[in-house]
Amino acid sequence: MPNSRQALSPYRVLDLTTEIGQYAGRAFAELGADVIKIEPPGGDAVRRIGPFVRDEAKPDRSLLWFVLNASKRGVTLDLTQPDGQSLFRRLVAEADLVLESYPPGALDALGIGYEQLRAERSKLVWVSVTGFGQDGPYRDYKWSDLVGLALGGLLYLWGEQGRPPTRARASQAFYHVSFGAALGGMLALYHARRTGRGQRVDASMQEIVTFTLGGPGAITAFWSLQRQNITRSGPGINLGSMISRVLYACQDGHVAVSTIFGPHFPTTIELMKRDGAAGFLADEKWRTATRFSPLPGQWQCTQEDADAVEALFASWIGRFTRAEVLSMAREHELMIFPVNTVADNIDSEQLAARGFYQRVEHEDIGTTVTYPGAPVVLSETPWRMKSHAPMLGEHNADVYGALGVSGAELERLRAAGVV
Amino acid sequence: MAEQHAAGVLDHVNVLDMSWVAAGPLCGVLFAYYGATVVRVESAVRTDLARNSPPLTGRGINKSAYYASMNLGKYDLCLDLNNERGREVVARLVEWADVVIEGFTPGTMAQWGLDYERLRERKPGIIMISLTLQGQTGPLASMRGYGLQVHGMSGMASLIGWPDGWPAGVTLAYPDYIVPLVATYAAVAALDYRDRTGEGQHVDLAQMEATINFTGTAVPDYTVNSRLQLRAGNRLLAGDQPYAAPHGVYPTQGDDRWIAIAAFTQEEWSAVCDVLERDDWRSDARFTTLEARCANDESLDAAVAQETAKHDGRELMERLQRAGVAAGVAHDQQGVCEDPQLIHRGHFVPLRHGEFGDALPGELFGARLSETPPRVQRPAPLIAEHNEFVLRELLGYTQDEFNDLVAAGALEFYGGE
Repeated sequence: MPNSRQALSPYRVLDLTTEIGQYAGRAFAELGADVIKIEPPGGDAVRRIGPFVRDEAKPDRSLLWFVLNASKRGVTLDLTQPDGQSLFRRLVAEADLVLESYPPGALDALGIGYEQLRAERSKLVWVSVTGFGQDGPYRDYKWSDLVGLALGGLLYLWGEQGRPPTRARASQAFYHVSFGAALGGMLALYHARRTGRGQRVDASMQEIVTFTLGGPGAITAFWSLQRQNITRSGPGINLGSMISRVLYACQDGHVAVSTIFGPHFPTTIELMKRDGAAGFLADEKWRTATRFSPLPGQWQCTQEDADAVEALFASWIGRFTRAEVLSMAREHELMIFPVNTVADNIDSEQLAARGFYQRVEHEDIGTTVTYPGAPVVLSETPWRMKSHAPMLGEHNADVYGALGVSGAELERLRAAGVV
Repeated sequence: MAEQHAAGVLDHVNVLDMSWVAAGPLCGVLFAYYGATVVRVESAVRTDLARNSPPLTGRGINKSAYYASMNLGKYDLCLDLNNERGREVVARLVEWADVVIEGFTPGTMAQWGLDYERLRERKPGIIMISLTLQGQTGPLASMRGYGLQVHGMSGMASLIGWPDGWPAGVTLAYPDYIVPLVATYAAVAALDYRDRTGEGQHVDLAQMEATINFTGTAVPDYTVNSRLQLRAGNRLLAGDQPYAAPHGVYPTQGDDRWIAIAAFTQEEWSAVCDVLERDDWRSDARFTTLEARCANDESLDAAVAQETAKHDGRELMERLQRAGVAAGVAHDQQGVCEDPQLIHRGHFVPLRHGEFGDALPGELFGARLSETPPRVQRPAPLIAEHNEFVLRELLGYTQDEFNDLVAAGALEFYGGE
């Protein structure tokens, strides 16, 4: 039964994060860890962020809550009350890893920070997810996804010249730091199991965004080596010395081409000839043209040449629909893909063949929700969605009961607003 | 007891990196940060496209800073995989390795006898990471291309940009730089599992599938509410309702200089009015409540932009932050290189690279482990730089055996400039 095994099933994770780090907890949960999301009795702030199922603004219907907290168990706990802190310590005593995203120092001020708890559990891994890190001049800066993208240098490259840079409609910097924190936490967990020694992971959103800025140092090298800044350029890439078009309009939207001048360029020219659209490209010499440093047998064309080639290509590719482009690309091995919306992909033959989308029954609200499936497929210990996100306090009785908290005691804690 | 020098979590882990360009190699970079010994295998004849990719300091195989980024901290070995003796070296490398990274079109590794089933026969417990656009299976599995096409096809591009403009985010092949985080996280979990059970596995990452996971609520909102989310500029939307205002990117003094401002609460709004010295906005009926600001966000954005344009971006950021508002300048590359927070964290690591000298620093990863911190082990390699080192020191070949492999054409050396 290979599918019943999961890589992280021996581990327990306590997740105190808000939106910035919540996907990290899901990543641990879906590789098999028992992840307990701890939220205030009034509910995590993400529960109040829509969109909601059928647009009914209720805390157990937030789709953002669903996608960030699937596969976790959920308890409520007021960490500002002594009884809450004491319960938290008891949970920590049985946990391998804590994920938190409080402003630096906030949990220490409550007496339940890493330094205070590590003494009781030396193998504990403590992952702090913040905008900028645990110290430094920006330590106390407020963060948001937009600000993380901006100070990480990625925002500057997104959008069109002459207009402000633009973000993505989904919060990308939060995903970057969540996966970065998951990676850092996983490394520390691995180390703790091997050596018995825990540690703290300080994950900075700003700094992790600099990795997604084209890899570490690739784009900043324009400045460090050439005292140049590249900027955003709408449908293309502008590398200063080279402007290259990526997006082209077609009959029903756009298509994306990483470069026309790839190994498929001769085939592209043949197809354009077939359609009577090759123009000057009919000349044999274009078969060996490149925009990059020429390999043996190639020649490097100028920016003017490239602009003219792109214009011809644009008028040819503009005749087709995205579906026609995809089928032509498959048949002739062209590196041209349609620009899809998420809706276009729901019926994707490829994703269906791989069983990608997960349809999950939410009995409590009488609906089925479709989620993106595993971001990566593991052959022996699958990445698997175990359950939908917890309802408010859904696992209080289970989790606190396992600590030995009696039903009567739990009722008292509930009445006191601790859980 | 703490050790004298900072150890890495993965000091005992060997990684054979047979991937190319960006997404695969960046997994190798992440492993190297945390201590793994990473050997990048490439061809000196059919060279990695990254070696011709800007930023370039001139013509020549070692002059791409892009390649240097994708291979930070690794050793380099150039092999001819079509040479029988070259494949023999790979077989030794597989026995040496804990993790193999590759990004070929599905089926290619099998042609060299290096598919997962045969790797695990040779080295039980091996973890193989395969990164492709569409995955190892399915009707589109063999489609070739680069991250930019996945950026479009996954729906990610449709979520970035202005509603009346192009799908955006194409300056970089965005998926290439996010999927390594996913693959490497999963692979470290797989290493932990292997150590506990002896069992390795095949990590099959489709850039499409990983990238779709970064689209927030777009998939469930479409399937549950029939709402198609499309690019919306800098609005922060819950479904189609803004829930922060001002929330945008506004001009500051200078050419192409911008500041991002995100105000959620009434207190933050009040602080924005203070810092921009527009007391009158507090009583402007269009702006008095969050609801009103969201409903009038276009006129709010225009009004804020008019004020921010009078200010120096960095000063304005500091003043807004001191007043309790999330704000940050949109760094260009100079801004990142000179950012005081990144410098404080030791993000930039001095290096001496064979081509760039000390002009190109290494950059660290932003997940800092207190006892086993990430480090840049060495600058990116020159082509074929470690042919002898890898064979002699890491694999234990004798000098005679090494010479013999050179004579047999198993190893490649770069003949150009």
